[in-house]
Amino acid sequence: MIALLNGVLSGELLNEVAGKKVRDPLSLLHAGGPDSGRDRRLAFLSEAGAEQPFAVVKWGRGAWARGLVREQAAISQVRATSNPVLLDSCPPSWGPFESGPDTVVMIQRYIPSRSIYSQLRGNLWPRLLVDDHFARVSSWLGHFAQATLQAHRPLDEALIEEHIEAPLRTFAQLFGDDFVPRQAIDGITCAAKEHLGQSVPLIAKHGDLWPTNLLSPYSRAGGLYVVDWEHYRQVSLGGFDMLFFCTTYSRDFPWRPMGWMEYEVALSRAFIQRTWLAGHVELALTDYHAAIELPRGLAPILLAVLMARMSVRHVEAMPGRTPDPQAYWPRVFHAWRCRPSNSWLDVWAG
Amino acid sequence: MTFPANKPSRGVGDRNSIPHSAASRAFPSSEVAQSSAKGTGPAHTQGQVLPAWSVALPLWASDHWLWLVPGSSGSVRYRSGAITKILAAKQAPTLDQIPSTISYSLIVLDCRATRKLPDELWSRLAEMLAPGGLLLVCCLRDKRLPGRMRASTCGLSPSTWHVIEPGQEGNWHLRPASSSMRRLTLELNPPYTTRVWLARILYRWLPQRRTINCLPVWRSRVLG
Repeated sequence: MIALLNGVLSGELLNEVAGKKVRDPLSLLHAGGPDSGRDRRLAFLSEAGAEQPFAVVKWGRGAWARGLVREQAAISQVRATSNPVLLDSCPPSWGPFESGPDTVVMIQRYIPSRSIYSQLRGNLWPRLLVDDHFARVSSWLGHFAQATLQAHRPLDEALIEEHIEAPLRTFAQLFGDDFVPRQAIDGITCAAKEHLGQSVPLIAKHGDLWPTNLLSPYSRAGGLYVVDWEHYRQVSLGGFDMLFFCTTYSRDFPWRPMGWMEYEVALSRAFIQRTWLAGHVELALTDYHAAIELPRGLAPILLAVLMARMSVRHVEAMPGRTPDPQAYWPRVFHAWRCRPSNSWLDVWAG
Repeated sequence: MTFPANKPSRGVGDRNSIPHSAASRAFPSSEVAQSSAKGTGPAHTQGQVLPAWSVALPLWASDHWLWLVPGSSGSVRYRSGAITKILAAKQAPTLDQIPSTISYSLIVLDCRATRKLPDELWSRLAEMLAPGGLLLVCCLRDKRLPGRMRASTCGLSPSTWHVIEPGQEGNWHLRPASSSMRRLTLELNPPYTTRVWLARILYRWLPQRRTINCLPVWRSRVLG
């Protein structure tokens, strides 16, 4: 056994994770920085001299430990579905194991793959990858929605309150009425109420579907691995995961060689202007809304709610962090609220 | 791997630098003298008292770790800690005189300034390690060192050579010194800027001055 992590990584466990008898001694791959969270870490284990790791070890303390507990529960739920695509996309995971006071460890089988984020940021011609990325993610989200669909039900006041109005109010409380004026919340809520009575899907939500958490396997042309399930929710109004992916994909796309685009410009290129990326986003949203039977008119509303929710999550994730209106999510919320009325998404939504 | 509050900043380069004398930087003499006088002393944060590259080491995975810096006169400066808590530095005339009431699950031996490491060192370090514990030997790369450790028959099992190398924005990586693991490390940390990307191409062929060699050594059999 390994004495590190209070001895929770036994030889038997490592053999199970690797799916074979592991030869000792082990090698380590680990990174850290001055800004690394002191309460969460990640390390890769490999056999000495091996070409690739066999396990990923996640360690968390305090709030991050609770996140790992949630993640393990989510992975167990997803792996329990009978959908082979989901089963295949979610790497086997063991834990959570207590490794000390308020600290938790989980260990996952390493799957040879590269994140979509890494592919985008490490490629001289990232635009050539976009079609493939959107195809993989759209296909996976379709299977995920199909496997986790709870029900279709008419949009009512209670659903609007829970999934739209309440998150916006929390956002306003945190960031202040100057940043989130009352009329902004009322406007979004009123727009949602125009869809009262329309059938909406209640499905599970990954909750963190940005390009770093989406891994493209080395070994096959199709397929997708999805990691970091700590924000999973079993029941949510459908639509958020696809919007999350499209928003963050545009933000992380190297619009300039290896460079970064201003947040508002990246948002505009995904949802406001008719750009080549907007074409991919439109196609993905059209297919997804049709597949899960979600009214198109809700997309601009859910996008605003997503931004508000994420703004809140980032403040609440770190105790003591103060709301920063210049952070990514509040800024794009503001940009989306002040968008021109003829954005392609609004036109598409009808 | 969760979502960052902001995109990575556009700043390039590592903010920390590695001094020529690691020992003097890691354990400034004024601090050693002060800590010795006060006994255990207060806990510190990692960035304050350990070299910048220490962030690449999994100190967080150890409930009792020990950081050793042998001096040229045979004396040893040392610092112990628990997970991310770091206790004050002390100095002992020899390695044998370091109090060893507990066994450590991780020991870092920072002997980059030491040319020749005595073979008797390994048995003493093996005694200080908990069964299954990890010793990280940061030193000049010596092809014969793993063989000498195995020959000392003190239950130490050296892995392959690793490197500790600077990443971007003050990050440091610990990885096996192989091309496949280099590629994986770079994929896990894609370049933020063109400058970083060009630097990576350059360092593929040129040695990176700040890279530190590290040999992970496990006590006894790691796996059952």
